[in-house]
Amino acid sequence: MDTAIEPDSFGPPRLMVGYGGKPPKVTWPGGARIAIALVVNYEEGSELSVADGDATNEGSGPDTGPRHNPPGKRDLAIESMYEYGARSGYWRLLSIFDELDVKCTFYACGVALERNRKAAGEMRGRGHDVMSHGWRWEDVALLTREQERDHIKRAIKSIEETTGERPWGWYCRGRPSVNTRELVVEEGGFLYDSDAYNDDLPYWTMVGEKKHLVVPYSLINNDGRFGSGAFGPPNQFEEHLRYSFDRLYKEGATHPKMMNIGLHMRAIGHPARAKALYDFIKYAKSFPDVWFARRIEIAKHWMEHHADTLPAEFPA
Amino acid sequence: MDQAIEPDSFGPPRELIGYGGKPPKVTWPGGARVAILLVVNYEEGSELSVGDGDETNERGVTDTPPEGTFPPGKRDLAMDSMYEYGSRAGYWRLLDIFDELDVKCTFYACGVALERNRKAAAEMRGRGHDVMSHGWRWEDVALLTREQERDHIKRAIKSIEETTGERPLGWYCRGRPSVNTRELVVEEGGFLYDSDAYNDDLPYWTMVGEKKHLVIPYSLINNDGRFSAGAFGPPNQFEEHLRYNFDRLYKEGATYPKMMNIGLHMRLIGHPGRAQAVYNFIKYAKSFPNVWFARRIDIAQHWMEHHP
Amino acid sequence: MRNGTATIPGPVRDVVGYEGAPPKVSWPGGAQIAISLVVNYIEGSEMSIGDGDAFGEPTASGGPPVTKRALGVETNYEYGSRAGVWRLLDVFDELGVKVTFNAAAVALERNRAVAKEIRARGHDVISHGYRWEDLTLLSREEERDRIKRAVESIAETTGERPVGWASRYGASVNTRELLVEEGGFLYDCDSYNDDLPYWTMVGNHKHLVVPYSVANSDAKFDRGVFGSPLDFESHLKWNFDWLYKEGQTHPRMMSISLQSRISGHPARAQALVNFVEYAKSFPNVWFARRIDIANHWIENHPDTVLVPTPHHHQH
Repeated sequence: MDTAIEPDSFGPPRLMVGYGGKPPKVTWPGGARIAIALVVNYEEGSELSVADGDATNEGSGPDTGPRHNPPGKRDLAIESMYEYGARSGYWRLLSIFDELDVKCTFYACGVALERNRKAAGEMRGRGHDVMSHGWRWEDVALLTREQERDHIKRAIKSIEETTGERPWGWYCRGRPSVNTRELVVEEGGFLYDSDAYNDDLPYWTMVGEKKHLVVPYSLINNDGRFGSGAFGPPNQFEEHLRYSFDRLYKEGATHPKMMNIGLHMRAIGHPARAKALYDFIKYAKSFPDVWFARRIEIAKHWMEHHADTLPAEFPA
Repeated sequence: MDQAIEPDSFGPPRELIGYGGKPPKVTWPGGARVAILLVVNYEEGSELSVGDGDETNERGVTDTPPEGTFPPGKRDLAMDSMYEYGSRAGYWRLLDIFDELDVKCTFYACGVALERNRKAAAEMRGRGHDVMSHGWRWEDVALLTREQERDHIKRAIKSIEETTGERPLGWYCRGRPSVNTRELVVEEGGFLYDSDAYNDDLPYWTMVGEKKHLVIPYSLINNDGRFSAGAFGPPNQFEEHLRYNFDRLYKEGATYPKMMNIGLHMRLIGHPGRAQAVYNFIKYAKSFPNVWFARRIDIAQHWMEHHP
Repeated sequence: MRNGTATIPGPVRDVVGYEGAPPKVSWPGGAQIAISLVVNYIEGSEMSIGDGDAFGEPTASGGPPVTKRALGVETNYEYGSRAGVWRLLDVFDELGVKVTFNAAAVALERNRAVAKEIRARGHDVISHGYRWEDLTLLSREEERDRIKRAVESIAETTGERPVGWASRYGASVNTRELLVEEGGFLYDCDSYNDDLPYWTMVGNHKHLVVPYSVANSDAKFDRGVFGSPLDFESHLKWNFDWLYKEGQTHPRMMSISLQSRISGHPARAQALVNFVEYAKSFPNVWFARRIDIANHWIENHPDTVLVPTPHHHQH
């Protein structure tokens, strides 16, 4: 049992080995040493909310500890904190990206965009990439296979309708179900998914007989950690990003890597934190050979230039 | 009863006094003022996971807060994936850093984890690092029966010998030993010491029955596990913590040399920003004279020879 | 249909707001930013077994309520009313800034000297409820009664009725309707969803919302999010810097939430002083009480009404 681990009874195998210390020598466009993938999660308005007819509320806000509301009770404070993201944070982030001339990827929930059509209409127009973050922002591990299949279809249809183009990438809400990847492949039309946190580079995996691209994501370089109390003042987040950048930039002299930055409008969209992001982007841009890339660009680059990089678990 | 406290009903006595403010004047090799023990916990792939046939998933020591409400029996693929980062990416990054800075560490290795990444296992000793046993799997041994735990110790030794080419000579359980652990480690034999203690800045001898047994204490304070608890946010907080710790021990070490443990986890410190913090700290410590980066086996052997 | 119908009571959610095109605000004196310092004054009105309640406030933020007297928790609150609030009053005088006290009525009844002093020193008082309690646990009738009592009590202890309202943490689905029904309120602060005030509709009544902030709150010391006082200070400075920059073209509002039992401690009071001095070192900064902001909005921006569209999921 030294390569792919057999699953117990279902779902994808665990992949403990990956590139085994020998990552491919990546050739990012322009000889970049690092590809920075800015991700903005657009979830606000699709989270669990009694106000929207759900039995319970989303349990945590960006600036409160976990809430324990009785079922069936609205939590107007949490509702309002989420609204901040869609109303205020979103637009602030768009301005920053325009000013600094960087493009990001939106992880978008279908229902959230349906509720803010003007915002949805701006995304692709300003050059950003839109992936599917699910029909709603929900724990898909709790859905049946049939429900999840249906929600994937709904997400595609909804995002196509609100943004003018179907999504080409998939990222669930944090925790995929054992069915997610299979269903994404079965549905078809997706170039890749990001339901993984296990590498610094994209990699190919197998879903049945089909080769499938994974572009891993990060919950570490992620403003969600303001909510858990890991980051207090904004400069802590900026310092964290700088350290991540410094290390990857150094490594990138010989082995270019990818740096994910996960953002939430209701967290980073607040002024103080937006400034931390702004300052970090300026910092990174002060170095040569830095590529701010949308996930779709990374996926396409990988398909074109690194089509044979199957990790050790899947000998060619 | 001013020394060892009698146990309640079983297990080791509590040892609240130790060196009683008069630690031995240690003579580390080369007159070092502080011995720095880098420990990398190699656990990934041996943690509880429904995907591996366990009833529940590991919930802790990653970057998501524990979620007690996730139904038992469900796979948590996100958690699986966060652990995988450690064995796939973090491990190799740490090895490169240790090579570049020319320091050796000790791996606390779980048998099953190494079986699932044999290339990684084979590199450890080859690059000069030390391998201790961190159990057969990364599990709470306090929940095992005495017989189960005895069996798991045997399995761990056999597994690590097979994957790394040499049996482990040191023992550290997963955080919390059972009341039987130390007795079983001594009964099994072949171990020079264990690290199931957090209670001193120096090694010490204790008695297990009639047998003298060496303990090299460990630390959960100088430990990247506290990123997971939210105690450390950005990497520089960890770096600052280590610097403060070093500065104090270095000062004390002018007269009484001490030991400084640093506990690391590949899935936490192996991420780029945090790896940079460790890198910076090692460079900082190396900028001082009389600093000894030691593997735990070096400390054990030194203690047996000079402070029996 | 769900929200906005009989099925789901309470205000319609609005995730859209100004849609990236906020009104160009003209604060007095051409200020780029209005800074609203708010002291939540609740100490003595919190749930406490020592006061005869069935349960008490948790020992740690977010923890379960306590069912036995927790004397440590009680005295922690007492620090706010005994020492902290006076330190903050002095700090505001020294700095020459006026603030808003978001006061629970019972807390003022139990500390009348403080109640008198607040308006005397030029500060504003809004109602934070009769007691510091979770309004979502009250029936509509109970809540209606509490609002009346709060208005009467604060009028009596401070000499003037409150014209602004902020619920503890989050309002109930009835709160805003009851405030309008009660009458006499110019605005509420039961929202965290914008950087500017806005008008909403309650039935046929135009109602002003002046959003509040939990992001800029010293309560995060309680949860361990802020450790050293510098953490709070740098958070505020960064918040200020960014809004100030935005304010060159689109002036904004910055709410800061303070608690007597938290920011009233010396080290944290110093962080507050440092921040206020920092902000005051810039031109075009307006330290405003919430009543000033509300009056300004009523007079200068009466047309900024946001009417959300009801939404429902196709389950």
